Amino acid sequence: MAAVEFRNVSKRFAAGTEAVRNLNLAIDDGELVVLVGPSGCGKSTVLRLLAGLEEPSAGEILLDGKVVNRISPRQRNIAMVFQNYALYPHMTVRDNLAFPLRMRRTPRETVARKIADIAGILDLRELLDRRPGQLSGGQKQRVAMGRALVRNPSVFLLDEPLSNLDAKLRAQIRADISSLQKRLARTTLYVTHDQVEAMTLGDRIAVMERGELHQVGTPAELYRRPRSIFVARFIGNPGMNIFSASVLRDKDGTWRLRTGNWDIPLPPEKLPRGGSPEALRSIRAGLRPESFGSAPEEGTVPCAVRATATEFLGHETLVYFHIPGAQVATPLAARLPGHMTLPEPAAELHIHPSALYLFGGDGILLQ
Amino acid sequence: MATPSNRTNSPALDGLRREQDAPTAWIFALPALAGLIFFVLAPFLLALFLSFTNLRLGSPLPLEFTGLRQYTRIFADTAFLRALQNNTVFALMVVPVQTALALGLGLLINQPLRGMVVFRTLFFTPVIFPLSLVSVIWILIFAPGPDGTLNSLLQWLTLGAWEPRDFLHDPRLALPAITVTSIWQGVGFQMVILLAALQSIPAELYEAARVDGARKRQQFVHITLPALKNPLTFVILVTTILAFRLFDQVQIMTRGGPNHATTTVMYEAVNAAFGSQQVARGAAMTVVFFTIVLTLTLVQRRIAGQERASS
Amino acid sequence: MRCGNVFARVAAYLVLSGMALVFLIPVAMMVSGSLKPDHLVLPEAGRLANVVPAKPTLDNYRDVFARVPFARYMANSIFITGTIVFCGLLVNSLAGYALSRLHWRGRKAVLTGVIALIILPLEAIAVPLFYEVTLFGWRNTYLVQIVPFIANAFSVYLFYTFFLELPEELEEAARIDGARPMRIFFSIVVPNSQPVFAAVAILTFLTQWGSFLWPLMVTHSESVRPLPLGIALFYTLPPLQWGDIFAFGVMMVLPVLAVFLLFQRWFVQGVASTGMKG
Repeated sequence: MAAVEFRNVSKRFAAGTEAVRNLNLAIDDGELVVLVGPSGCGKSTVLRLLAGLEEPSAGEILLDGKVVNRISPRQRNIAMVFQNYALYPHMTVRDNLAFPLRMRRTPRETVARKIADIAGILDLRELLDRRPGQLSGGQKQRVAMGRALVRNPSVFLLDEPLSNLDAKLRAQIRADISSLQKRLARTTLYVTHDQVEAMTLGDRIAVMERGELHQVGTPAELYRRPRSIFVARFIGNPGMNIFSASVLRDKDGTWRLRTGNWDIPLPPEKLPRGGSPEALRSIRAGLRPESFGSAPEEGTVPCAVRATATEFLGHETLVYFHIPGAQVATPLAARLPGHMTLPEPAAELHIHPSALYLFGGDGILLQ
Repeated sequence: MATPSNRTNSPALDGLRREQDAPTAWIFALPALAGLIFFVLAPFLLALFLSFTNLRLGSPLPLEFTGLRQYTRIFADTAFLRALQNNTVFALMVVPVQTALALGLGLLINQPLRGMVVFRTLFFTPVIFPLSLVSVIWILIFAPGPDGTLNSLLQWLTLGAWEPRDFLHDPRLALPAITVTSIWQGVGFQMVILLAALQSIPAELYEAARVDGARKRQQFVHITLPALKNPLTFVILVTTILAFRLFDQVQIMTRGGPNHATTTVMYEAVNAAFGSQQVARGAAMTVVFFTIVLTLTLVQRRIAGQERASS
Repeated sequence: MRCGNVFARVAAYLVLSGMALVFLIPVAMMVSGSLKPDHLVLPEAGRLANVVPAKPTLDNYRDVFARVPFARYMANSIFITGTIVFCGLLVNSLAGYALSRLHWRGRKAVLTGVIALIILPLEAIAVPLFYEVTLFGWRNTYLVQIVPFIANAFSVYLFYTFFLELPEELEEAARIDGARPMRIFFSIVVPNSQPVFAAVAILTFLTQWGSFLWPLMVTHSESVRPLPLGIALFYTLPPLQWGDIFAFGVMMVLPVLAVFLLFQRWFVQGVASTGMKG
């Protein structure tokens, strides 16, 4: 039995906007699922639905197998860390931590003991008598987590907890959250717009766009087998290059991918099953920037490129280029190790055909 | 958070919240609602009802429905008509002068000079004086004869050309005298509101205008005045409504005289109801008063709405 | 407006100081008159130089206490105004919160009703209210001067707009933490709403402290009369002794002035916020 389950959940707001459309998602006990997507995709709404701060327009939300649609937040035994922490500004850290326990009429000695425990785990001991206004961003974040943990909730909700921190702090706290979650083995739903956080933290990742769930899977699954162009572009930095292409059958029977001056033979396993020749003539192809090489290797095919810009990042070089003969609006990106300069204007990059992804006109991966 | 919360906009979609919140909400709102219904709404409806009757406290006559008779009577009463006129004249005097003065003082104080807070405090001080006290003080200032403060001041200013007057008993000077008193007490209140509005105009707007080549007057017209539109309309409306509520000074300084020169709608109403026990007549007067206030408010909202729509 | 211009600066100070002096004349007269023997007040009113009393005396202050129950008036005013302010804060804030944060059927209707009642000033309902409280038998009591003014549509509206603008996160966190609406209101919302409570307290105070018309209508014995009525009646009490009257005025205004000077930033903010809402 999954710890958390969304069954056909939809949420429509008064203005008519459908923030969440027909969501089906299950989270296992102790799992950390990251809900990721661009702003406005509905991920925060999903979190609030689970918290009980919003009511679904359709569908069911289950906690431990029990439908909780009509159960108020205080009875759901969930805890939430808000994006802006939502610490009570007029109370000390100690009182902030104590508040949820006092709401459940916990005896005073238990309250003191639990606060001491949490303060120890999250390194809050020196901060207990301070007010939120006197804390730094990272400290506030820890207090917010502490307030959420002190109650021993069965589900832990985090709403973009790192977005208000500067980059360096973000990496450090990301690691802290990861180790904390593994240690406590608490079912967690983590919402963010940052795909790096998603890839590094999640046991599984759920990608959302405009209210719809595109794909759920482990980071590796999402990286290697994105189900849609959106997921393919979203994961990775830079994301997958997408360009129009045609799949045609040659006179000698081999299938080839053609775009611009590129002519790449397709291995049989890449061929989509049951695709009409007309459909195959206009597909969208994808290649990750990492799949380009500057020198030929076994099985690679040379492709001419016209480089437009080069960015040297130290450990690698980003090359932006156009496919000669093709009408592509934005340049494609390639990541090459070390310091590379490509001869201009014409250069050559090498691709292994197995690195190709083929997507249909609707953006879904063709198998 | 970018999430649109469905707080007060869509109760229809949130049946659970409504069920849960309803009992608490009624408990929260009940005391205030009860108070408003009993002591504001009910009297108002009662006023409407009474104005169509002949209720007179202590009268042996039975209560009967008299239709519009109270209204025809008061509109035929010279004192009441004079009161309406006085209120209007008073409003026409007070509103422009007090608003202009409040704006002028606000502009002067809204400068990065030292000690401006002191001036703000000084001009606001009269606001905390109850009107009855203010009335009593100004009776002395308006005292007749060459020893009266205002008389001697005017004599000094005009180098002796001024003849001492009994302001409060002069039919032409009594209402202006009350006007001055009201302005003295009220200007600080409006000034503070306008000052706050002035201070909320970002300095960068003026700087950008200076870079664009605007001079002081143009800056005033194009930056200051537009930003003040809402507070100004609010201040004007409030001052106008207060002008029609005029009572305290009249009761204490002139008692409506001389010869109804300073009587006001409220003064007449209170005298009718309380003085001669003609409750129904007094009620009719207050209904007229309310109609005026309502009209003014609606007009102001229309003007303010138009501004908002066009801006 | 930049005033690098010395001339403009001096001009500003001059104008302001001039106006301030003019403004303070009535206050100065009151204070100086309170310290002069009665028979000198009127004759000396004409000249500025007479503002400083030749022989300051506290006789007038003693007279006031001898002739009228000043302390009683003061106590009445403090009690009446204080009770209205305190109860009003409680009653109106609860209503404002229910209207802004809770979901209930009828919320919109009640909100419209409250807003409609804002424009009804006391004067529009004074007469029928007078009749109503006569029916209740409340004439000449503290009750009649307090209870009708506790619930105030404008205060409810001020609280309503303020609570609307409070970020909801704190209340949501408290809901998740298990707090019920009553607890959320008193433990979370109120401590974080000081500005609106101060503003409403001060505005209510300013309106009610000087209340004159209503006590005039509904009271007739000195035991329940407030200060504004006291001074008006004192003025009509023969013999007309200006010194005494001004001593009354000074004592009447001094406590309020002191409070005002101490908390003037709150006063000004409170008043200014009404303009913002308008």
